[in-house]
Formats: sequence, structure tokens, C-alpha cells
Amino acid sequence: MSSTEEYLEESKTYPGHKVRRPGSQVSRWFAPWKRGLGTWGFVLNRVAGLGLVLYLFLHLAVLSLLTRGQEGWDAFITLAKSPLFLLLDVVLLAGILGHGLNGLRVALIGTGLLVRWHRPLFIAVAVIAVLGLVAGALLFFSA
Amino acid sequence: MSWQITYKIKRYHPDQGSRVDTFQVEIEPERTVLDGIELIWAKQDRTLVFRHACHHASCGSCGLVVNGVEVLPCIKLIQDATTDGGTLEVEPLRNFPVVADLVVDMAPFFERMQLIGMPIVGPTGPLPGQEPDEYTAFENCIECGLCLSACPVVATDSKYLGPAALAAAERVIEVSEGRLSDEVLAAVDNEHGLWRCHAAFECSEVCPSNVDPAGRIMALRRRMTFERLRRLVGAKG
Amino acid sequence: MRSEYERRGGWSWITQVISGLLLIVLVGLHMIAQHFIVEGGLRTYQDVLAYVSDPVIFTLEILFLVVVTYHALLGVRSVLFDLGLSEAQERRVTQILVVIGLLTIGYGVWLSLYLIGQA
Repeated sequence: MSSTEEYLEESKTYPGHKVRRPGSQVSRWFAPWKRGLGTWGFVLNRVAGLGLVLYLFLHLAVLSLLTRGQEGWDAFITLAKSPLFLLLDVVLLAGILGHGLNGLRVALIGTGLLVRWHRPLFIAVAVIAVLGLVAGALLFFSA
Repeated sequence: MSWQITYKIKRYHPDQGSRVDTFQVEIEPERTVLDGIELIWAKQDRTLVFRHACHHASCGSCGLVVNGVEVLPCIKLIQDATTDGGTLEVEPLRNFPVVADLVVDMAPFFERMQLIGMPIVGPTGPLPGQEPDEYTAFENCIECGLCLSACPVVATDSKYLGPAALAAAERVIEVSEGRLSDEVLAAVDNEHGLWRCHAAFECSEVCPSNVDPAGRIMALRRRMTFERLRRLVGAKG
Repeated sequence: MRSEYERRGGWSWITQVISGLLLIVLVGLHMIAQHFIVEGGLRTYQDVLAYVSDPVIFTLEILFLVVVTYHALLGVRSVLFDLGLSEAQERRVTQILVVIGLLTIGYGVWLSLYLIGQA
């Protein structure tokens, strides 16, 4: 994750001269500051995507509670209906909406269909995601 | 009327390592960021290493990162970069080895262009059916390297072919109807070629020459996607 | 007609798009089924057994499992490839992810069948 790591190498253009090469700059995947809407989309997709992968495997692990029969599972369901868990569900919904809608945008851009529309599309994605999130949160907490 | 500007310039010398030097400059807001750097060199520090030639965005040699964004300082006005009393943080281009101070080794740019055979495409104008405002041809490329510096994928994957070379490849196909050699196609239609792009569009954001590399990569991707799908359903062509 | 050359990576991108589009539908169905069908939102143990024993639901959930695992691990692969690995490392990453994917799908299918057996 270090962006300050540096090392020296022989220059290809200026023989005999040592040049400084920056190390890996993974932090730039998560740094949309001062960048355009396209980068916000890239960062959103990467963060939400990695979060969803983590959730997928946590979810599958939790489902193993079902093998412990009625008591194990129903105790978990009581817990899962607590406000804190419902809040986590809202975070999950945010990830799904963000990644899903932005993924649709990336598909439309990447197939060359709406390349010139990538900025308005991102704004549309953001608006729809926020509206969907509010609606979903209300539904979760009223259920 | 002059503005008081603080330049914070990233310095590097192989024997001295890296540091940031601060310079106070009095300069008119209509002048350029490069003018300020030249003033520093002329009046304050003759050891400052930087590169420029034409002063009008034609030679592509002065590219820098100013306040976190890639620019050609020769056409970036002070008033567009900061305000009176403001600060300009000046760094060399990212994703290139630094030779000294603000000068980078452009080898990563030209190695990529060589990989696809350094195509020199003559001036063509808009293609049939192309609107003049869609004319974002690779011929405009001034080889400044801003696109490689801005790209978040180049930042971590040194094998990625990158914006300029992919845009050039798309232009060759556009004007010559698909005549790329197998070697070039292997570099372009590759996991570290056009499919590696994550559509952050930073190359197009910073390109000073309206090449729109990201748009060209997406055009290339559309071309290769539909070609694969056509082959899959067994169509000829 | 162009002669053959080594083409790599295109199908990963194309299938990632297709599986992504499928997921928009499948995730939607899954979320609705989990949160908004049963009284009170989530399913009790008995509800789960009845749910998974429905052949249509079983098919949809297994399809969801396969597609989401493929999409997730292909995404992880893409993130790892962005790091600029050597070709040997890239092959290793692909192999490991294929194994993880098969284990994940195997686990999900086994769990579903086990629960149907309990119903």
C-alpha cells in the first residue's frame, strides 16, 4: 500500500544514470480526490466489489449455522433482526446498488455504446442508488 | 497586478535523495505555471532541473503533476491553477522513473509505442460519417505522457499497454480497416492490453491534445467484443 | 482473413459483463425473497427448509450461487492481475481461484441438498 517506497534503477534513456522508480502505488486505486467522475466510478466499483466478495463468503459461512438445526438458526435470526444487523443490511444494499448500477454503466461504456455519456451516466447511477437505498432502508426497518 | 504564489517543488537527485523545496514567487495570474518555474530557476535556484521547449503545448516535453493533477505547465495559467496567495505543489509525472527533480525518463511511454510498432498515422481528418466534434484522432498526440501518469492501472501494472498505445492501435484499425500485424494484435488484444482498462477515463481527462484515449480503448473493446461474439455464432467476417 | 494470434482476456471481460447483468436480476430476486416475502422479513429454520425444497427456488438459488461465485472470483482475479504479477504468478492465482470457486459451489450445493433432506 506504500506510495513512498522508491528504488533506483539504471536509466534506459540515459545510460550510466540512476533513476528513481516509484514502488507499487496500490493506494491510488482508492484515491479519487481531485480526479474525474470516471475515477469515482472505478473506485466505487472496486471498493464495493471487494466488500461484496467479503460479504459473500461471510454469508456462506453464516449459512453453515443451518446444519445445527432449528435452535442454532432461529437464535441467529433473532439477532439478525436487531437494528444493528438491519443497519449492516443497509450497508450491503448500498454496495449492491452501487456496484450493480455502476457495473451496468461500465457495460454500456465498455461495449462502446454510450462512451460519451459516461459522466451523466455516473450521476444517474448515483441518484438512482441513493433513492433505492433510502427506499430499501425504509422497507428493512418497517418490515 | 502580481500574485504571491508558493511553489512547493519535489526535488530529487541520485546522490541527495528526495525532498520538497519551497519558493515564493511574485507573478501575474495570466502567466503560466511554467513561467513561474523558470522565474525560480532564473532568480532563486539554478540547480532546479526541469524540461521544456516550445511553450505552447506542441512539443509535449514539460508535463508535470501540479496540485495532484497532470498538466502541461506551459499552457496552465496561474489563475486557473490556484488563487492569490495560493500554493502550487509541483511533482514530476507519475509512473515514470525520475531522472532528476522534475525530469522523468520517458522510456515507459516509448517502449509501449514500440510494442505496437510506433505507428505513424498521417493526418486524415474525420472519417466518413464522423461528426467534426467526434474527431478525436490519435494524430493529435504530442507524446507528453500525461495519460500514462494519470492512469490508475499503469500505477500498479507495469505490463499494461496503457492509453496512448491502445489509442494509436485503434486509430490504425480505423484508418486502415483492421490491418494490424499478429504481433501487435497479440499485445493489444491481451489481458494486459485493451481488457485491462477499468474506464476511469483519467487519460482523457488530462490529455492536452483531445486524443480521448479512453474513448478509443472503449471503441477497441467494442470492436473486439463484437468480433468475438460474431465468431462464436459462426458468422463469417 | 486474419491469421490466429494469441488472444487473451477478452472472454473474461465479456463473461464478467454477462454474469454481472444476470446478477442484477438474480440478486434482486434473492433480496426480495429473503426480506419481503415471509412475514417479519427473514426466514426461521422451518421456513428455510420449505423455501429451499421448492424446485424452482432451488434451481434459482443454485444458479445464483454459481454466477455470483464466478463473478466475484473473476473480479478478485482482475484486481490481483492489476498488481502486475509474473506469468507464473498469474497462472497460480487462476488455479487457486478455480479451486476456491469449485469448493464454494460444492459447499452451497451440499448445504442445500442437506437441508432438503431435513425437510
